[in-house]
Amino acid sequence: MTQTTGRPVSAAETDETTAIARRRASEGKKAERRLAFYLVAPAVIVMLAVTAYPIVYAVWLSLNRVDLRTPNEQEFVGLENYVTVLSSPIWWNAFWITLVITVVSAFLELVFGMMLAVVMHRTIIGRGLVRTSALVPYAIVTVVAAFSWRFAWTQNLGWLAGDAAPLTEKWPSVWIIILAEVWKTVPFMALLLMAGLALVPEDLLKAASMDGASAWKRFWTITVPLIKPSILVALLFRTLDAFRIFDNIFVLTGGSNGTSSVSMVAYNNLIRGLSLGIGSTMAVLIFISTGIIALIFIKLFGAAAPGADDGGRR
Amino acid sequence: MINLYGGASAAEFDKIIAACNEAAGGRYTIVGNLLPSDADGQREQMVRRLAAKDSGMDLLGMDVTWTAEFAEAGWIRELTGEQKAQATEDTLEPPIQTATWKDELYGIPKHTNVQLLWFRKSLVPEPPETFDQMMEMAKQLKDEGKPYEIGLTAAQYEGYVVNVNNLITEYGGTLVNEDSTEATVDDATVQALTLLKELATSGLTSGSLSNAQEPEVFADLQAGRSAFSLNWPYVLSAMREAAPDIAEDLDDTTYPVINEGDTPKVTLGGMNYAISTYSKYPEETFEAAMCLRSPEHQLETALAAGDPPVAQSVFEEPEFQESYPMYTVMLEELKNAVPRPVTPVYQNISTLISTNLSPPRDLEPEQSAEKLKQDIQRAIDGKGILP
Repeated sequence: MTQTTGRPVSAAETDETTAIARRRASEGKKAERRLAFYLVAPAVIVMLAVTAYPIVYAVWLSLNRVDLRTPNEQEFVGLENYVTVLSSPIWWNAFWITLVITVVSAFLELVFGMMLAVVMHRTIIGRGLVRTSALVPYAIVTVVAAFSWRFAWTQNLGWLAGDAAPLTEKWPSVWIIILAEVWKTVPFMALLLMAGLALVPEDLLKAASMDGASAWKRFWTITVPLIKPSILVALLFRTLDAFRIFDNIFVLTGGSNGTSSVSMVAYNNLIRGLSLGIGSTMAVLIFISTGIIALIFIKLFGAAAPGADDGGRR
Repeated sequence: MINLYGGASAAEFDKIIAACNEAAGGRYTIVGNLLPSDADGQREQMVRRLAAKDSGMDLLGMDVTWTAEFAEAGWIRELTGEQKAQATEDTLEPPIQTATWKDELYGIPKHTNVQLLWFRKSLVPEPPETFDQMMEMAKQLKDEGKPYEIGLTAAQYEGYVVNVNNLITEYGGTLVNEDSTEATVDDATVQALTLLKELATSGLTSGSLSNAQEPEVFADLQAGRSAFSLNWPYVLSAMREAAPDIAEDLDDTTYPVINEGDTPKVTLGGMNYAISTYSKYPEETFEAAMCLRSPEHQLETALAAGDPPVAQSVFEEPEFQESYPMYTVMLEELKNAVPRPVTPVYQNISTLISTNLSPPRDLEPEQSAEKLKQDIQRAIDGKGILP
């Protein structure tokens, strides 16, 4: 190291100078970190109050027998509500239906979303038009679209149903719900995937095609591994949302014929039945389930938030 | 300002509100607020605000089945002494029963409703008295290639619960005991379910029976597919507009019974007015309610909106008798009509009935009755889950 003062320096002095420098640097960093905490604190406190308090209150309610129709009979019952809910066939039927809808619709959305993303990415003519028109389903209000689907599939009314009445039977209804969900959310998946596609370097693909790789092989061996973080993030968001599906089912079948999802059953018990204890129990169980889904995605599949430094380390 | 929730959007009701506002002479103004048209939607919105002790609702138009629930939760005021006498004056007894819970009067009856057996005069010269007779006649008509269907509401909703309750009551049974602490499902229920299944699988009903609500049953009669129709009194005035030639051919009689000579026992519909506990003007609200459902206004509503009155005197008015030629049949049924299960957890029980017993063609009478009993008991004990 050159010295500008020109005075000769001994080894011991160098060590001490370095130590002082390091201490000053870490002090500076500590001060900076503390400042960061103080600046962020108000927002964190507000967020805790708005999100943490309702969650804690819901957990507390789920441990009581509370019903708004009998306001004088509240008692602490511990885990009894959980036993009631978890041993009820209504809950498990709803859970099973929700799982089916979640898995099938997430898978279909991934496939169609990927196809749409590739199309949007590679379009040469009318790029703006293609991208905008592909987003139209996502821009339509969900309830309005659901009503359109319902009338289209009603017996003797819509042009899709003809003489049959698919919305009065369980499994045809579930497929129609999945159809409405997939139609609505494919643009959202396509958007997220297209962002990932844009990061794939062209030279790799060109080099591979020069080596004789077909389009299919190029897609599977180059594109997909490179956009894996994008795929996992898109899938994580979509799965978490699909698990809490409510509006499509509410409009299409109203939950009849056993097509209720867990959110619908919770709504029926909480808002219609005014049974705060049971309803909160279901809400807490839904919360735990979505937490498990997020955990599976992050730990097992290695999804990470966009912009994270480690980019999805296992 | 008195806020009215429930029934405010009935045909020509705004004229009645205006008339009562004039009669009030400035002491109060009644404001009619809009609610969803289906009873469940109305209940949902009312119940949320009542549970939150909202003082913005004064006068509530309650469906007859909500009295026990609202009273038990302390959301509506009791009527005693002078008010009770005024509210029950000149009123038929069964509607008063629907406004009572634990021997206290909580509501002012406004209008009522009972189902009738409508039939085509040209196809059915002699109206059937029992279900068996009706099914025999329908079978004969079917064999002859004429319109034969028996129409009844059997979709998975409240209208189906009404029919189920009709049948159970006619077999002499009940679903819950008097103070709603025990489920009393017994043989009568099994018999009722057997009859229901027989009806649904006999080929004498519409193909989409499990999807049929009142509009579908009406449409079957209008299109000339039905020879018999179990529906509310509105059918006559609506049919006069929709298909006058069928309206000419319509006649009505009392709801079918099980054995000849039985008294027909049908389920009551209708609406009672109640005063919210959280209302700031209970006295004025009571006055407003008494005005809105006074016998003159009940006659007007009956003629305009098709809501049968609860006042005995209105049944004797010539205007009413002309518009409702079936008034004798209705009076006879109203004298013996029964309410739906009177319990604070009626919402749960109604959902349980319509879910467990739907569709009627898949009924297993013994098992369904047993499961219903267990589910109803759980609901009464506060351990039930709504599907």
